[in-house]
Amino acid sequence: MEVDKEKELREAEEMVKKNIILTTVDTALNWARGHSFWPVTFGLACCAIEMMAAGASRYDLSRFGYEVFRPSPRQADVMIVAGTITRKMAPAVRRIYDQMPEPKWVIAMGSCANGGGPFVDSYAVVPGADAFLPVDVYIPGCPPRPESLIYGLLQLKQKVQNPAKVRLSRHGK
Amino acid sequence: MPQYGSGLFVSIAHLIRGLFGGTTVTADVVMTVINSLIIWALIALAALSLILLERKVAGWMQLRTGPNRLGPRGWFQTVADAMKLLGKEDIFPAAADKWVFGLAPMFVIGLSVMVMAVIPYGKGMVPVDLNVGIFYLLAVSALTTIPFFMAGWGSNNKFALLGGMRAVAQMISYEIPLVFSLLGVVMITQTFKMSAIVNAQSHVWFILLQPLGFVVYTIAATAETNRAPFDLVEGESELTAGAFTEYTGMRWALFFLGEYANLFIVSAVAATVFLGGWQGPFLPGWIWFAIKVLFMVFLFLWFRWTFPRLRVDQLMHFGWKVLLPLSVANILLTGVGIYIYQLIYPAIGG
Amino acid sequence: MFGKGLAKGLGITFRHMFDKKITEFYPEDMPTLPPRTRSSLALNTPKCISCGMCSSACPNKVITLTTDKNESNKKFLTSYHMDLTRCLFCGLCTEACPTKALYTTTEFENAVYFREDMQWDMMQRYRDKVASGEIKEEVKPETKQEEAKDNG
Repeated sequence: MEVDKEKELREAEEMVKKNIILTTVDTALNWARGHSFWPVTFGLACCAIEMMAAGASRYDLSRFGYEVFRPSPRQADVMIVAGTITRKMAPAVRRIYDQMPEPKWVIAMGSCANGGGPFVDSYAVVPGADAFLPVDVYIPGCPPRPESLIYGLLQLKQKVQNPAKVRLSRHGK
Repeated sequence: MPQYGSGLFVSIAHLIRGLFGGTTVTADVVMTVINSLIIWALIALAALSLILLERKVAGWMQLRTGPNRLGPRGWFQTVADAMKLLGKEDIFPAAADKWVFGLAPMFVIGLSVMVMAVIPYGKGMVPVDLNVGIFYLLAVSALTTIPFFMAGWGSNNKFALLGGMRAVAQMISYEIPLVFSLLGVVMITQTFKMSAIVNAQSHVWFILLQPLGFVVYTIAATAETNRAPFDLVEGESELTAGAFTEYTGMRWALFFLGEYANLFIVSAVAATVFLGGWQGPFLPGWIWFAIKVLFMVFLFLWFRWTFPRLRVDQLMHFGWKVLLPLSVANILLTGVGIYIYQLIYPAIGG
Repeated sequence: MFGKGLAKGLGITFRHMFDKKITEFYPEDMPTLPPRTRSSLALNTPKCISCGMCSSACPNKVITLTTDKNESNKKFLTSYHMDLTRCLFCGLCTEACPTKALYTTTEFENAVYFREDMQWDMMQRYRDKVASGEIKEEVKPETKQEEAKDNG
């Protein structure tokens, strides 16, 4: 009985997967999303300076259409956690994340956001943004170069446009 | 209808009217529907291309390239942005005033459509050629203040409310010099009709007769469209995103669309009133009109990417103590000029 | 005169519109970073003498290495891990390294999808690099060191 039910569910899932209209819309939307990440204007420490440099003339995020730093989280798609997250700041960061509309992504930029960095043993610092946020891409560096950030954003684009590929890469390439 | 040179769209309109033969009511209805569809398409097209142009010009002025990935030289960037915004979550804040919050973006875009109906796009290409054209245009565009305040009030957010208040203060203050600067032209032509104003410029553009009026109009129009250096309504350094703080996805995109439609409208009015509208040699009228509008748009973009934002008190000071006296002086000068002109050529004027 | 500054500003921005753009086209043209850029670390395993100076020089305990001794009582590496989530890329480890086996590189494409991927197995990375032909394997570093010892 149970097995039959599960089988039915599986079949339904397959049908949903094969639904051409929905998947096409999804692909088109993912394509569009991947080409216009609008980050929140939001920086926590020195990595934010590097993030600003990435938006400036030499590295120019706008080539990819990612330069629209929105002041309000309500209009943003991606949160670049750039810097040390102190315990005092963490609720604010979480709140900004909660205010963003779905679909939303998080990039942890720099060692502090990746895992606490040099302050990992401090009682005042959260050891990594993934302690309270679902991080999509980690960019190591202290701080990462603007090119590294651009590479991270392009990795995120890969993830958004081919979600299955990234899921598979976890389980032994 | 005169057909010379420029009448591509005019002859298409004639053709459509011809299809419906004798029944003029049907033809009128069909033409109205087609016109309104064209205006909607024009708004979408203007907004999409102007946003891209803005980003490109910003890039060029800052020694960078601007969007260049999507399509040839990045021309499809805004298409991707629009698609993405369509797919975003639509958040209604729990404390928001649902009706006011939801209606505000629609009002913005609706008012833009209403204004765009009276703009002469070419010879014989006025969707509705009202005999109070400019008056109607100013009256409707003055209403744009209300959706901004609706957005600010309905969001129930302190930043949004402050932004809405600023919008009201700024747009009403600058509405007065804007109207007064256009009054000089109305005094010369003695008509409110847009097509008549364009026809009156067949010999000389009014920018030459009314240079002061043009300058005042340009500055006031910049403030009226809430663009830098007068973008206090959306002053992101102090007000998050001003009146739009709580808007997400497509609702916010409508505001964005309205903003750029307004930019198009003020440029089109400047082109019509000061730069001779569709008048110009060789090329068809609507192409001349497009060129002039693009020139004006570029002027506004150029201002935006050159000047830093003003302070609120500076803005108010400038509006009331500089622009208003200037525009009144312009009216006085125009009156004196017309009087002298009539003394010399008594045949002209009425 | 009033408005002179405004006109000057407009002139500057207008001129810049036609100036040469300074943008670096990163994904298409790989930038050539300055050679001393410390954006990534690499280990040349055969050069390593397993002294552990790097891990003791590190201010953040990034490096963990385990060693073993062979029959001629010579230390060799069994594992060498770096925890990039703590790394400052300060280069103290490379300065401490007596044989310059550990060195900074200009490689900057380090972004990963999972936190576990930031635990670098430096020996594995070296093997990958050799396999991909990016660097050549050192020829008999052992004998070189022994020669040096003999001379010294």
